[in-house]
Amino acid sequence: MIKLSSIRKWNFPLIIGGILLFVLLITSMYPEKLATADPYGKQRLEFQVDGGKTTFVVPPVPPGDEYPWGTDHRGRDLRSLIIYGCKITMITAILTAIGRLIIALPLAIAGAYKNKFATWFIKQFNILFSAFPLIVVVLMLSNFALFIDILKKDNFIVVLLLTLFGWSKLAYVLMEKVSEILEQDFVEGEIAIGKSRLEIAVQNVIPHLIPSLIVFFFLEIALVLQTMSQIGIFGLLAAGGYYNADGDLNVPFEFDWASLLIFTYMFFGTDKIYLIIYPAAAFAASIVGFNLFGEGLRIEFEKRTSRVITFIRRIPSYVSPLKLAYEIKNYEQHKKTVIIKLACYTLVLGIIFFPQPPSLYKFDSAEAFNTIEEISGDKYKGRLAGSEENKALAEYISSELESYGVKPYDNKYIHEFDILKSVNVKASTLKLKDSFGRNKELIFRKDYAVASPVTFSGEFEVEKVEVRDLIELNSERVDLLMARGLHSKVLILDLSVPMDYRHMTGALQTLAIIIKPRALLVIQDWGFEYDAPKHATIDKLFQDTVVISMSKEAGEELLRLGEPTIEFSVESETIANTKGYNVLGYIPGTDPEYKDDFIVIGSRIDYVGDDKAVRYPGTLEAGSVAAQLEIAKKLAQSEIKPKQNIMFAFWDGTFNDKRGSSSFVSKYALSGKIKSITYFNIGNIAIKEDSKVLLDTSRIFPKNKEAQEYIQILKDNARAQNIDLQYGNLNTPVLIDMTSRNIQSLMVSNPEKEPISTTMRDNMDMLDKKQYKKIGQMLLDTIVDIARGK
Amino acid sequence: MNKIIEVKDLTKQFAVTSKLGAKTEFVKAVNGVSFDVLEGETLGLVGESGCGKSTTGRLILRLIKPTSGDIFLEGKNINQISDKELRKIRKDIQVVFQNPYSALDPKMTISDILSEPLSIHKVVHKYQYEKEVKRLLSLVGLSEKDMKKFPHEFSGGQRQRIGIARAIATKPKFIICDEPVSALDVSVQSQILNLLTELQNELKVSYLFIAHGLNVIRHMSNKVGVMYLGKIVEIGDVDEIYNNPIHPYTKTLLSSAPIPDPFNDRERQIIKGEVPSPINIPAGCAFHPRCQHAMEICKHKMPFLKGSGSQHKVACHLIDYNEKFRGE
Amino acid sequence: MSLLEVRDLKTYFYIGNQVIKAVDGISFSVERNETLAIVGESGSGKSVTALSVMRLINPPGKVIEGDINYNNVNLQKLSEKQMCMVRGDRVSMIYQEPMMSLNPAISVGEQIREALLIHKTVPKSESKKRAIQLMNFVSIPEAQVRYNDLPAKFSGGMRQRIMIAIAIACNPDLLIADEPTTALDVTIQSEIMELLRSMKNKLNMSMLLITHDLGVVAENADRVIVMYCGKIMEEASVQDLFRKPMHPYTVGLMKCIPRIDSSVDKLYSIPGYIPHPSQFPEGCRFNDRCERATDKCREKMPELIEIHEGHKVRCWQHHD
Repeated sequence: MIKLSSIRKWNFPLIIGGILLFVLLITSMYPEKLATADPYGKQRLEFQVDGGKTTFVVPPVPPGDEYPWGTDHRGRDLRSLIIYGCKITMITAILTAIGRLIIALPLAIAGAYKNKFATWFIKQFNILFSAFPLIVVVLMLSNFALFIDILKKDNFIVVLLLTLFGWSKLAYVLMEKVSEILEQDFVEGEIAIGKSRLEIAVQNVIPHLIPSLIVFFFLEIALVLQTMSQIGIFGLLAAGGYYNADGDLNVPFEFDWASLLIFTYMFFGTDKIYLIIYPAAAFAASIVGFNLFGEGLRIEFEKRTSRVITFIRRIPSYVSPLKLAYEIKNYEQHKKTVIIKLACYTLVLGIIFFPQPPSLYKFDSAEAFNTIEEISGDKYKGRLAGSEENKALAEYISSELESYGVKPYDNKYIHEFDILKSVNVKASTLKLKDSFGRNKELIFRKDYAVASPVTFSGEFEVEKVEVRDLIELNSERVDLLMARGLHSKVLILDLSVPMDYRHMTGALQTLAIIIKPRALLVIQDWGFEYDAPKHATIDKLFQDTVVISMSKEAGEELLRLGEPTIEFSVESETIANTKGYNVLGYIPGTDPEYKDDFIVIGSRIDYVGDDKAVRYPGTLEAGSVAAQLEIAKKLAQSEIKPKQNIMFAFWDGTFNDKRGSSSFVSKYALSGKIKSITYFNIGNIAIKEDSKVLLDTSRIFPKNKEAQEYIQILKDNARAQNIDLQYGNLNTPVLIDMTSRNIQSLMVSNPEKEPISTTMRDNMDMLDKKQYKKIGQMLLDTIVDIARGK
Repeated sequence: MNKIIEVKDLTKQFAVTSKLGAKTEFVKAVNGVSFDVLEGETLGLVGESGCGKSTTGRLILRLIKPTSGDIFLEGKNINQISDKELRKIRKDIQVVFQNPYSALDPKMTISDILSEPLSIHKVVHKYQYEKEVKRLLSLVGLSEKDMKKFPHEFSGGQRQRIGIARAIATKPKFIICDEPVSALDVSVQSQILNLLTELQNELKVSYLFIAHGLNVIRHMSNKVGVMYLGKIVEIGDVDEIYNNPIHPYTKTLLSSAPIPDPFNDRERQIIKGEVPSPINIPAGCAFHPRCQHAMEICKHKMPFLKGSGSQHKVACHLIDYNEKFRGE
Repeated sequence: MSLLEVRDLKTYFYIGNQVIKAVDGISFSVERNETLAIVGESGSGKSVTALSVMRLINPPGKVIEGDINYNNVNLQKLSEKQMCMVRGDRVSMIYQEPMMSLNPAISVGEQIREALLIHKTVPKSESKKRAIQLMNFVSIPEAQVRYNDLPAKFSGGMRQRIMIAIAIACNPDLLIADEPTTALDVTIQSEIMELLRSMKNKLNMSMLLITHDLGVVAENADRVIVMYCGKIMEEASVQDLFRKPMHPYTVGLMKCIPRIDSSVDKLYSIPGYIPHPSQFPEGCRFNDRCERATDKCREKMPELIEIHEGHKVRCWQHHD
């Protein structure tokens, strides 16, 4: 029985604080085990029909069964957000506290030793920041456009700013403490035995300071969290979303608790108060936790003199390998110590290098590389949708599936659909001539690219038009424009300078609708060094006008010529009224309850076709197809009987308007033949430039528990393969089709620093073979685990 | 025998701003002090509060910087040396402080405290520290079991032993004992005094023994100097001084000290007035306002130390002007 | 009838889960016009005895047992208000550190006057004059002028005189002096003791003198009590104590003090250390340091027994 009197002696702040901190630690280390949903999954606008009554669910969704703490205004599950955000919030706060300590401590010691600069500096800083609290400084800074982009990019910047502007109070307090210590008598004794000031500072002052330092550290963390929460309310310094200088809306991904508070100002005074309460409560709990723990430590340290400090002082000698060597040499005297130390080393090394359990099924990358070579080879001539080559490709894939034992879906592997028109720009020439007879030939796709696929040739007068002439029109100005006879010319429009995107759109609209020139040369700042993507389209605005995009360098050359004419031709191939060929195979599920539920894995098989003289292998695109085939093979040939149906989809016509994926969705999903689909898109993987692998989970509702499990399985397998899996915003036309029908979708892909897809660079050289193997293995393991019902 | 320490005209002035902050006055804590200490010898410095004996000790230790004057360690002037050199000579000049309760770092174990001087002055090799610490502890009468303990686990007397162990760790030539037993109980004082004597015999180290207890000074010293308001007024062989004090102040001092003997009826020398503040040191002989025998010259002229026997010097005009006083 | 009679006084301190027996059953008496000295080292309990008599013991300390009779009045049974009337008026106390007991913000004259007024010794109109008289009595020069000075303007010796003036303002019967000269220079010390001696004679006052200094005892006390670890080890007249000390502790104490009038090579020292108040040894508390300890000493605590007239000792060696 615990005596009542001894309970009174317990250090309650330490215990309660310790519990809170422990909870925070666990939450930071294992968020996936505690959260029910992926934090980026978004609950979109959803209609629910319930026996004749239609309700719609629109974010922010208040707390309820599916979303225990509700969702934020973008539809993300609030509880998962808070749980996942714990780690980065804590890290930010802790790093800031450490940073402040690093700056404050030497200055404090110098100040206590009466160094004039240090005392002056600390004092001035303190005065400055009591007059201008940290928030105000950040507020002022955030108005400088220069800072906006930097400030909001990274939590690292938050740490930096909070450190640089917030260390002074800590320094002041520490300086007092050090002065106190230096005034004690024993310091004279240390001077008398011949220690230098630095030695006394390090060997005597700091050990005396350590209890205070530790306490101040925890209290400082609490202070930083407080500041962060205040800054959050003001919407500064946090990744919530903002308009940058170009007018684009940036919604960065990384979030912390402060950023959860940003858009809450829109909901003050409404019933959506939970949006504020939960993040605020999270802050409050952590602030209280750190404060209590710090206080508890202070009580503990004042109780007795520390074996702790002697222990800390001895740590270097405990871990020193030199000392260990000496002890081993004198093994006789130090038997016990040596044994203990060696055991510890072994334990630590063992944990770090602990081997992973092997995968069940090996991803055969050699096979996959063969498939890639096959698909991206000359045979399929760039895999243009609607071509005969693509039909052959579809047949190749379906025969592969058949050989694996994958069943045809709806009794057929190949699913035809109509394609109205498929166009391939195969060649083009462009010559610049000026009035002095000088010639300049531009290189297709290097200096310019054709954005509208037609066949065209001729020599034309060129005239430059200004954006400002094309916007804010009234009838008078229109007349002026028409009088210039622009209709028969090739017009040059310089869009390479920074401008308001609304002006740009306005100008283009004017050109497309009112003026309709023969051709339009748009000078753009491509911003990349390699060839322009083949699949560049500027806008669907222009019906009969040929649109040419020209690089900034080429454009400048052009403008330097006096009264130039251009001679240019475009040769493109058009296939009209043709067919696209999806390939669909599946492994049936065994559970009758899941009869109409499908997990669909998809990749695109079509590409942009070859130019007249240039090959576009589309290796990376082929990579996703090959990986999917390998997965299908291994799964089908395994003994595994999945609960739900697993379909392997290969989409054709994805570069066109009428995509294969869209046809599939209307035929099977809309009609109700398939009740629910969880879609898994494999994008371009294993690009040499970047070892990051991005995962986009934003199209999965947080309340979709099954899909959330799949996400977790994927993450676990990524960790097992040592893949740096990160969240990203990914897009592809296939996803748009899926999402439009509320199909929950996931996508995995590598980011492209500069455009690679649909350029000549998309070839075998850009494929990172080692990375491919790892990603392939990860995907295979994930699908296998899902199928096994893990 | 050679001189270990020689002090010449050592002076220390402190600036004191008056309450209003306007005037800065000077306190002459030590006002031209000269003496020497031979090898293996103990010089006692005795005086009342404000006489400057502790300050003198601190000046020799260079814990404070002298305003003027010279200090010689074995003939080498240590007044104007660099900080780095100063730290090196600290090996030879050590100190035992008055307050055993605050002189040791409370957060260090005894082993750490005693290892520090060994490490700073490289007395022994790093891996030999433990052995040496044990040896030092046994020299001062403590056991090796005490190595891992903290200062607060010991009594005052034991802590003072640790302080002494630290002082002898660097095998110094000269140790300043600044009131080493004043804070200790009577029954412990004799233990520590015996220890200090023993160590002096064994290690051949010289002491500057600063105290206000006249009996303690008599026991410990070979020579004694009596200080008053920053100056030495009488200095000489200890038995000489105690048996034949000449300076009026010395006489008063000796007669004021209580003797633990109820049957002793001795003549008391009374002095009038209070010890003046060190800011306003009287002109001429600093003692003249309180001296029974003060003459006119005493008010104007400061007397210097003169020997009335080779080992007995007094700073008093009486020995010049009054035959009666000589030899008394 | 003795002026002050203390019987079986026990004052304990409760710190943490330890019991510190500061005073563990002592009895003594102070007669009129007598100076009784209590001598002991740290941990002996001498100061706690004085504070217990004045009822100035606060938690965590407590007088758990014992009678303290002043003029046959049991001080323990008085209410706090009544005790206040006794303090300063009939029984006064002066302390070691005068600066601590004087209010730094009030002039010394006023503080003396305050003592007079509280105890209504003289009417208010007379009080200032009386205060100046007292200042003269304790030999403070220029008392009239210095009446208005703050304590900080006085030296240590002067402050002690002021404290004495306050203490004797109401002509108490008993003055308790707790280490009155320990913080003073030796020349001042002798003056203060001289003052106290003359005070005692002129005012017919008794004194309870608490000190660790045997020299002060020899020159001022009539009778002496030697305390060690909360108990009385020896009690005698001052002559008897110094001529024929009986208890080994007393003997050792006297032998280990260096003399100003002679010198030896090696001092006598009592082996060992004073035990921590929470760890007194079994039996006689001095046994672990006593050269003449026997098994009996280690098992059983001896009683305080009168061996010769007026000379008591607590030691098995002397009981037979």
